Amino acid sequence: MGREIISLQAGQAGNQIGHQFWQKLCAEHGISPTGLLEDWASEGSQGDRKDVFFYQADDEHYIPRAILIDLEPRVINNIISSPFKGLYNPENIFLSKDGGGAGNNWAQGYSAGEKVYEELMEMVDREADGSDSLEGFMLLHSIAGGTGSGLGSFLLERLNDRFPKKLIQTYSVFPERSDVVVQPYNSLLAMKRLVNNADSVVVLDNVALSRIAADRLQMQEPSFMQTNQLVSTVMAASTQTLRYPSYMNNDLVGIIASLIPTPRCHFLMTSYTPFTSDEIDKAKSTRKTTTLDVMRRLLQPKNRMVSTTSTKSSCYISCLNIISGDVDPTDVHKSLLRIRERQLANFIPWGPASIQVALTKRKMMGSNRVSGVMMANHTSMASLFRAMLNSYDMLRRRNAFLEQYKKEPMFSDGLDEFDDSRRVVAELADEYRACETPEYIDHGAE
Amino acid sequence: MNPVNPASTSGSGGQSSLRGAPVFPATQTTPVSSSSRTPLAEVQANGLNFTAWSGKGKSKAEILKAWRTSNGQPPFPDVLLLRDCLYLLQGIDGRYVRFALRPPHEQNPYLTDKGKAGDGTAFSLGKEGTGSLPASDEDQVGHISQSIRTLLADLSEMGMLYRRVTHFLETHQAGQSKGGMTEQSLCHFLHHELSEYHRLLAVLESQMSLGEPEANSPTAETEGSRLTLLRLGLWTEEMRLKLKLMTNAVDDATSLHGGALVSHIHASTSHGDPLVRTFMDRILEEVSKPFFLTLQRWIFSGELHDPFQEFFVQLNPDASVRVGRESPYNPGDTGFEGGMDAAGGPDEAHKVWEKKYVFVKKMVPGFVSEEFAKKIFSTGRSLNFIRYNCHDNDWIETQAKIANAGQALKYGDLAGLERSIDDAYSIASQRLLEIFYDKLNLMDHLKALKSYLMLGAGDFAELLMEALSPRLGKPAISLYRHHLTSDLETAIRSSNAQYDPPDVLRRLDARVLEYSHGEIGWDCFTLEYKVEAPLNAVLDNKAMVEYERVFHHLWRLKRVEAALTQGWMRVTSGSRMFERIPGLTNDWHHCRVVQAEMVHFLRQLQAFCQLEVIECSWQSLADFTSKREGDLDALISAHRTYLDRVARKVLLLSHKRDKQEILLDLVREALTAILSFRDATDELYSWCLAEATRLDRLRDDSRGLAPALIPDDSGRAQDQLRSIRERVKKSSIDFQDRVISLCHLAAGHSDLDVRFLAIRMAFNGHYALRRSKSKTLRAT
Repeated sequence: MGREIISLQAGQAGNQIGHQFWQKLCAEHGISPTGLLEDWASEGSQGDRKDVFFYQADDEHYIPRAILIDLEPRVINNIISSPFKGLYNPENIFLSKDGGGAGNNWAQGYSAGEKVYEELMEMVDREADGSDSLEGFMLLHSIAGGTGSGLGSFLLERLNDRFPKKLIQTYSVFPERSDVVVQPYNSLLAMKRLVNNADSVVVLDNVALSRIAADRLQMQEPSFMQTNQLVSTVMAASTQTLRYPSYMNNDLVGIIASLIPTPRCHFLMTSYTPFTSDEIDKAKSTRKTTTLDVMRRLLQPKNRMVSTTSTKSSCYISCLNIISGDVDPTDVHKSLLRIRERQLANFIPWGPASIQVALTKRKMMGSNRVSGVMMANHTSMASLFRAMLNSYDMLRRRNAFLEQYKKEPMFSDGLDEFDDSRRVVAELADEYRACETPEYIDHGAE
Repeated sequence: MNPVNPASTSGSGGQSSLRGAPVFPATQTTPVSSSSRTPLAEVQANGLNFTAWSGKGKSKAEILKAWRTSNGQPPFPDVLLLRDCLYLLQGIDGRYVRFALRPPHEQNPYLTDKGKAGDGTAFSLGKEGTGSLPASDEDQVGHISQSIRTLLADLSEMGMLYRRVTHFLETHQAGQSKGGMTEQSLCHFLHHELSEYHRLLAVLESQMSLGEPEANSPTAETEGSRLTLLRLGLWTEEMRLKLKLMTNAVDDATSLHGGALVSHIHASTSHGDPLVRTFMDRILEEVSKPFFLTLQRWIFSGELHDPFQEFFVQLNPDASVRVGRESPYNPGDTGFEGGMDAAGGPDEAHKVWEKKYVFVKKMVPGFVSEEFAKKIFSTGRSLNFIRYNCHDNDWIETQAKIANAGQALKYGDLAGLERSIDDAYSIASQRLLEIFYDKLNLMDHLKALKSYLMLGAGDFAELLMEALSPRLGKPAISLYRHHLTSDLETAIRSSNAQYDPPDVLRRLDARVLEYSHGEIGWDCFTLEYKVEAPLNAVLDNKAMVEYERVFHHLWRLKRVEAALTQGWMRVTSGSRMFERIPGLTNDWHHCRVVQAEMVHFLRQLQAFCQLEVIECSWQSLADFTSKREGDLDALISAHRTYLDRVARKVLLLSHKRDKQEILLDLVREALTAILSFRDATDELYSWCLAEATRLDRLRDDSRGLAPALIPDDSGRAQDQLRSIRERVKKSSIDFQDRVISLCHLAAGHSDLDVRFLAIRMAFNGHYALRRSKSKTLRAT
């Protein structure tokens, strides 16, 4: 009985991040690359709950509740030739037969999903049946390309249909401007599904990730592996309260309920501090940090893993800090007072909001320094959507690169889907703006 | 009583000297009887004689003597006086000099009845001292000069003292009084000292008989070893002091008892006179022997052997706690059954620990400081507890350890005493703490209480909540304990609780409290943690009641939290599809905003309880226990402080009695409002579902897909919607009102942490803003 969460990782980025994530979880819970418990973890209780993300096969192997999906074999082949090849359930790995990928085309990915729907749902159903009390799904993908974006969108729609009472959380990597030419199309189309079909979206963007990695590593061009390590660190940290239950925040719905007051404004930003060599390779060493340091740094824009532009009226709708390590509970109290005194954070004007703090005391190998992750619902997220709309509009005005889309069934009758998606995203950006005013209480009234 | 006043019978002779003698102040109040001559005239008249006699080279005393003799007042023969003196020294009337009876009290006319009933010593204006004075029968034989008189009075004082001491001895040693061992040993000492005194008397007597033959020929005065009154005074001087001290001790012993007596005697050992000091030390050494004997048994074996209640530790006279205690006289027989009744009944170790022995402050001997006495008290208590309540197998080992540590205790070696007691104290307390921490695993139990009764183990609490929710919503009467316990079992087995030691888990129990008609399961469900002796010395009944009270509150918060997260799934996530239903304006949006407020409130409250209160309090308790200092008392009080702090802050209690539960009531009302909000939004959800179905059918109908069998009840639906809106609105306002006043009141609470809760709630100024807004509204 464990409020299980099934992870679906789609596309290149999704699988790479996912792979890092599972390595991290294995390290924390003491699960070896083959799925067996390490010696230190097998004695007595570690106070953890492995069954949220893993299940135990008959032979004591821990197996991730993960479904690996890609339309091209490269990344998944890398995974199944890595030391962790024995970790995953081979039945949960989906590779497209032709292996051609989605050609960085959302529509291609989406329609590929329709073709393999049966196969995918069989995996999902099998995993869902294997859970006592399924809490929800976690989708890891990027929204720029074809598979993660298109197939991911398809999955979101279908999961929402099939499991209407389960949560869907996504970790979505937003693109850098130069990644793919048609990424504004792909992102916009995927955004519509993220708005309508997901309950919560953790937004990570490559610009911010590279910036943080560069800052931490003092390296101009951090590798994908390193930025993925950043993402997996944040994922591990933000699921920590689920995996190491304490008095609160033990279920995903509880966390989400406190962060997301209204259904559309469910795009969360994250910060993590400090990144050390435990989290990413070759990181600079950090001096000892205090709880206040951590909480203060989490509020700094430069530590956010999404690059948004704040205005004067930008504010936090909600904010949750998960602090781990050797924390004196009285420090939390002092830090909160200090933050309030110095007004380090703005909050919404239409309702109560504050920084929530959760402490976790996982047993760490070695150091027990203080680290923290922030999950916040912040109105500056609107700037990201505005930028997305802008680049879409520029592309669309020229009607550039639309041929590939028109080939797919969804767009054969016209490009209404684009317009609808644009409307949804624009509405979302407006709602986020509206959140900054006291009139939000009556938002949407006719 | 017929007073015999020596001054009035002293005749007329020595009046000049009498006048000036301060030792007989009473003469001034007694009329001078036999002489009408003024003293001044007499002195003047004798002045001439003075000069005449001095010429012969005799001392003035001799001149006076001769003059008196010539005046028919021959000096009283010293020999007779000396003989009498020996009697007087033994407290016996002499032939010529006798003890006077006690002079009457001159009572203060303003004295109250109570004062009159007393012996009125404070008002004695009579003779010097309240004792008796020698009355000399001088007139028959001759004149006794004033100086000799004084000497006699001084000597006879010893007789008085002797009398009192012997009287004390007679009454106490014969066993007529329940004096106790301290008195008995005092008697022993006095006896010893008196025999010394007797020896002295015998020597004096032999001295006198040596001098007697020569007394017949006063001309052959040999200065050598002849006994004179003066010498007698000199030789007995030291003894007189001793006698005085003994009498003091005797006086003390009649009013004081046991340790108090020892203490009083000790007070007089700090005396500047080395003679007094050493003598008192000797008394004390003797007198404190029984005390040290008792002390030794107490701190080395935890036995109270004190038949006369002389020790500063005494059995609690309260009979209720003595049920099942072992008798101090035959500890070996009942010792291992005495502490805990075999059936494991309600014998509370806490009571035994707390109440079995009492500390009697006035019995603490003066040479033991109170802090030290507390240590002694604690040492014996710990040993006793280890032995009879903890059934410690290693008891013998502990005892041996302590016995090795301590040497024989005696008054003479106070430093050694302190050392031994310190050692014994630390061994005994350490052993007792060891028993609690290591053998009884106290920390495991405290952690379990924190995890389960204070819901620290969230996974367990959630599973239990999930399993029990359907049952607890029903009337209390339909709750069966076996259902509850099986749900509890399930929750334990599927959460991390399963890894707790079985000894912890077997104590965890689910129970239905007494309920009254109409109550539902939520009101009367409780978790229980069972502890028995000797563990309940720390976790006593009162503490467990407190734990359950805290549990009840936290459990209620948890319940509302569960309801709210379910609500979130409906209101925020599930209702998205209804937004396009006509007739609904932005009802759902309103609900979500209010719900967000509720979630915020609840989460802040929970975080406050768990983090600010429980974790922080636990931290200080853990700090204390990790040090393993102090004794069981310190442990008990540390735990009590912890629990009090938790209960007080979790329940937001105020120090002011009349306002005590105001905040708690507000919280409860707010929680009730949340639950009714939940119900109302559920209804809204169902209404939307029904309305959506109706609209779908209408649409189908309009397209001619389904037969038109749908009654047009849109009017009724609108009525329903109106009443639902009404309810949503009411519960929202109820809730918001409570939270606003809660923030307002908590901000002025005496407890800083509770004030911090208000800050948490109004972190972004939302509540404070609203309050000022309503103020401005009222103003306009």
